[in-house]
Amino acid sequence: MNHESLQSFIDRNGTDESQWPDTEEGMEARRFVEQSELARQVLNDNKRLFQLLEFAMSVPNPVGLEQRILQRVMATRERNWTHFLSSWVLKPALVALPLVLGFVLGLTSTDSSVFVENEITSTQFDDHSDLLAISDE
Amino acid sequence: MKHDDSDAALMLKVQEGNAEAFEELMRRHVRQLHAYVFRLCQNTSEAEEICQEAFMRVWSRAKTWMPKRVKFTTWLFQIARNLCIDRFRKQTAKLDSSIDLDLIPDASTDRDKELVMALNQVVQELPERQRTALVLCQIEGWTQYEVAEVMKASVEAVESLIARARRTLRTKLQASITGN
Repeated sequence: MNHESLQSFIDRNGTDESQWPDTEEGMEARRFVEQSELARQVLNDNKRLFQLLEFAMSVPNPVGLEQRILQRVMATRERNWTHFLSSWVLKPALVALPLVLGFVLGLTSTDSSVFVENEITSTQFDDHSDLLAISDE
Repeated sequence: MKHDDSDAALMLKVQEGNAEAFEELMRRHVRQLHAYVFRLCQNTSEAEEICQEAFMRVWSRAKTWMPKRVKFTTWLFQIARNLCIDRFRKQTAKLDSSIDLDLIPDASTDRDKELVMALNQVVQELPERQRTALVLCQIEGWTQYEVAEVMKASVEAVESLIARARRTLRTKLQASITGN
């Protein structure tokens, strides 16, 4: 192994020697680092670069983010309930309304026809009794 | 809600509309997700919006998550990554120069601080796939297998992406690292 192949190995496997693969190439890289001052320098330069990368990638604290997410989800839940009510309860209710009205009207009209029929029957009976009374005379 | 419930157990409850399970799951992962998103987009307000949207999707599309197919964190980071990619396409946001140089240890020199600024710039110039692979693997400490799942790529492809990203950083900053 030489300086260039070690660099290529580090690019693929990182700078943490404990994570290097136990392949032939990995063992060779470990031996090279142990034996060569230049190899150690290459490894240390890379370690320094990626240590600084962590600082370069520092993240600001997202104050209150959790709360804002929960608020949005709760707002969606409320909207969903309203949607649910309008789509699954109110809409079928609106569809059913004419049916119910028709049913109620139907019931009402049936009762009145019975009443009328009864009235006719009683009138016919009255008429009939009148006739009987005449015949007796 | 038990704090030792697994992500999968919580997610099954979220699928039934359990808001407490969602809250626990969100609190568990929001920091890491925000860090990942911020490192990709380098914009405070965009990072926050993307995180909010990602968790909104977890809530509203919970039933599309399939426990036997993908880990919850993989699914969550896939959602966030897709949202980031959408934003990159629109290219509306500008980068924040929000690196906290005070975080660098006291012993660090001015050259280190300059190097940190330069590194940040170079990372932002990396193609999205290289940047994602580098952030997740090098900074967040994910395995290449986990990164491959989020990126829907092979482990070999991820290894190659990370190697190219590291090589780009190194070659662009070589002189500064070695002090020449």
